[in-house]
Amino acid sequence: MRSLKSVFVLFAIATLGALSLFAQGYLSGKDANKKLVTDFYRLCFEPRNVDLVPQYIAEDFVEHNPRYQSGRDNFTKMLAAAKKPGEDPDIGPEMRNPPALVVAEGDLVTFIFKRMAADPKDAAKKYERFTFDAFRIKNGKIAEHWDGDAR
Amino acid sequence: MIATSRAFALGFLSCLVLAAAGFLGAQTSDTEKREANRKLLFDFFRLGPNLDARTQMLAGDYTQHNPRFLKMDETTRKTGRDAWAAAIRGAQNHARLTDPDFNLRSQPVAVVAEGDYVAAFYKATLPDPDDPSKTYEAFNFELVRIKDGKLAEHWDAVKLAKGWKTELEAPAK
Repeated sequence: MRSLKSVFVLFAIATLGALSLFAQGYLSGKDANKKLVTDFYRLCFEPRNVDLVPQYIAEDFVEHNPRYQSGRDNFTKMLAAAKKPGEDPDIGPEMRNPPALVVAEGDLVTFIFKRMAADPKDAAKKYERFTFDAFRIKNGKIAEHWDGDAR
Repeated sequence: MIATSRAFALGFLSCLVLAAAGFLGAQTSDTEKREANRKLLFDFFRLGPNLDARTQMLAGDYTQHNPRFLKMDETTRKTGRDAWAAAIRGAQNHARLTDPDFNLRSQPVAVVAEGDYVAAFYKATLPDPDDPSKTYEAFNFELVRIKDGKLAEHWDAVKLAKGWKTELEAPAK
């Protein structure tokens, strides 16, 4: 009976330990994926930090943007050639260009961005338009990317 | 002592069972909500030319973010669901709103649902501007917010093209 009791005590300790992990804000898979993509933008893409590409982009990364090639190496080349960010090199806790909305499910994360565009009929008039970037996450890295770019 | 530990064990186990049931119940209702929201978006596209039924799927205060629809609202001077109905009726003979468009929208390459939102992604095959004999794949999205079983807000990737005209300004015959 004593051994049964100690099993229950151990079980209780293990369960309470696991619960406290959740209580401390242990992220679900979906939320961990959102954080991964946010950190990718904030630390790697926005500051054009090519050194962090291997931390966020899978080696066999699949790119569906019709203007770029698949593969981590090609992503690194694209990032190195991209226009550098502004003068202020500080990296903040939030993205410089935060999304209007984030929708995530399973291994997919979608960032929706709002942009102000000039009306082609009257450049003085601005209107809101929206773009998307969708990512598939695999083993803690970005494995696939889609956006609305055309050639 | 034995009775106490039994009571403790039983109490503890029932707490675990209740917690697990609560967790699974929350998961199930979350999954059901996402499935229902997904279905709502696809029903809206599948209904295609049935404009009355589609209008009924919109919330009265439907919020539109598509800039072409917003331009049509400047012509119709309507808001919410009425604005969508007026624009789509005014434009219903237009080539942009024919059936293949809806067929495309019933076959997304991916759908992402979370909370009140459903995002669907579509693949289009476009002519290559550098070589007209070739095509390439491009992607597009539709995003909706759903409230009380109705489509309450809509975003997509539409932008105003050079020299744009709304379907209301240039009705097709």
